[in-house]
Order: sequence, then structure tokens, then C-alpha cells
Amino acid sequence: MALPESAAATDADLIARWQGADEGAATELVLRHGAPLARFLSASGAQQSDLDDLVQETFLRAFRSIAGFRGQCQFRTWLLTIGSNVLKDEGRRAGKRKVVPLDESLRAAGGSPHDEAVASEAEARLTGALKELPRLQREVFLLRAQQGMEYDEIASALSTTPGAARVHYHHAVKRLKERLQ
Amino acid sequence: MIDDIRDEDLQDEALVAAARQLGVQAAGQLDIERTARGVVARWRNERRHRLTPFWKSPAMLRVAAALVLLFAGIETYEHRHHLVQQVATVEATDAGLEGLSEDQLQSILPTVEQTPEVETTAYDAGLEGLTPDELRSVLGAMGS
Repeated sequence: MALPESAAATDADLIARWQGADEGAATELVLRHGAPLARFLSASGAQQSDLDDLVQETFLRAFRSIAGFRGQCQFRTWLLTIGSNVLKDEGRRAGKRKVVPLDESLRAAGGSPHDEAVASEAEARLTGALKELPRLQREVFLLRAQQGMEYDEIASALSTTPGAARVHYHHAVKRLKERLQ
Repeated sequence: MIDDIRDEDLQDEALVAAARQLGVQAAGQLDIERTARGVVARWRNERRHRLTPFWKSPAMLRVAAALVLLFAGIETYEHRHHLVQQVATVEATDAGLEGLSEDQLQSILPTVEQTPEVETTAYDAGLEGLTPDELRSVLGAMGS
């Protein structure tokens, strides 16, 4: 059975089609990368109620500046760094630091109520600890640990060197472990 | 510094596992298809605004309307100002008559009603059409 066109198309193909005003390609890019972007934004401190708007705004900014995307890194990595800027701008606009509440949205699916409570508490503690990291360390940690990216890729997206990205990750892990002990 | 970092320092499976769970629930609650439709709709709207000629943009239309109102206002003001000046002139003239007494007005009235006397010329009398004999008889009548 042949794969549908959208599954076979690479990000580069979809971007090229999008630049030719193909709205289907834009939809496919959002369907493909929207959920990882939402996870990244949420881990970076975005509130659930703002998530949809932040994801939309990130894609719109990416589409506006897509001519400047030269394929120096993966589209998703580039998108996540734009998402980080959107979140920063939103936080500045709101004039306050976003606090992720320990509410129903953080509860893990499945398991006993006790397991859910423990999981959500651990997640809330990690989210709180992440927010205390410098922005670059937090981004490197999330791109590496949450999104599973290589240092080369992270370095390209953040305009730094792989060695520097590795150092940032090391500092982030050290601080998080201290904070969570 | 980079060389000082040991690989085991970077390995923390529990931390990485916890990081991988971050945002999973929040992202799961997102209706990504609805988000995609929202992105496309907002993009379409932006593109429509970009394609509209700048002079047809709502801002430019507002500026044009403001200019029309401004010029109309200036024109109306000037027209009214001119009328006021005319009325003031007429009033000043009227004021000259208002200051006169009844006797003075009575004395002015005949001069206003008086028809100016006009000298009669040969042309006015129609003498140019007369024969010499007729002219002689006219002159005789005038001399008598």
C-alpha cells in the first residue's frame, strides 16, 4: 500500500509547496510539528490556556520568515527556537512570569490516583526547576532531553558550537539535579 | 571546560525520562487539527491584508475621509466668514440712515424720488429725419 502524499513528503517538500501558496502543505506542517512544539512550550512554562494561541503564533512567525530558513538545521529545531521567542515575548507582554499551576492538566493519564499525584508532583517540580534555569540552559536541556536532538543540531539552531551546547546541557543537568534532590 | 565534563555527568536517565514526559498531557489536550485550521485562516487573513493596495487600506481611507472633512470645513468657514462680512457692511450702511431724524429723512426722500432731468438733444428729438422746410418751421416756432 502506497503511503499518502503527506506522509511521504519531507519537510523541505512541504516548505517549498507552502512557499507556492499551498495551504495543504501548511496544514501538514502544523499536524506534523504542532504537538512536539506544544510539549516544548508547555515544558518551557506556557499555560495550557495559552498553548493553542502560542502554537498558532509560532507557526505564523515561522511562515512569515520562512524565506530566511536555509536548512541550517531541521525545520522542527528552527520552529522550537521561534516558539521560545514567542513565549518570551508573550511573557514580556503579560508583564509577569507564567506559573504552571499544579492542576488537572498536569496529571498523568492512567495509573492509580496515588501514581498520578506522584507523577504530577514530579512534573511540577521539574517544570519549576526548569524555569529557574537561564534561558539558554533551559532551551539546550529541553532540545536535548525532551526532543532528543544531537548537540550539532542544537548548536546550529541556537547559533553556538556543539561544545558550548554540551557545556550548557551539563550545567542544566547539574542544577536540575541539585534542585530536585 | 568541555574536556572536564564526563559523559556520566550528562547521563541521567531518570531526569531525561521525566523531561520526555513534560508537556505530554498539555499537548494531548490540544486539538491539533483545529490549531492547523486556525493557522491557515490567520495566514490567509494576513495575506489578504498584504495584497490590498496601501491606498485602499482602512487606514488610508480614514485619512482620505479626514482630509475631505477638513477641506469641507475650511470651505464652509470661509463661505460663512464672507457672508458675515457682507452683512456687516449692509448693517453699517443701514446704521447711517438709522441715525437720521424724521425731518432729515423727509428732506432726503424727495431727492431719492426725483427723476433726473435729461437734456434733450437733436437726436433725442428726432430732428434728423426732418426736411429743411420742416426744420425752418420748427425754428420759427422756437423763436416765437
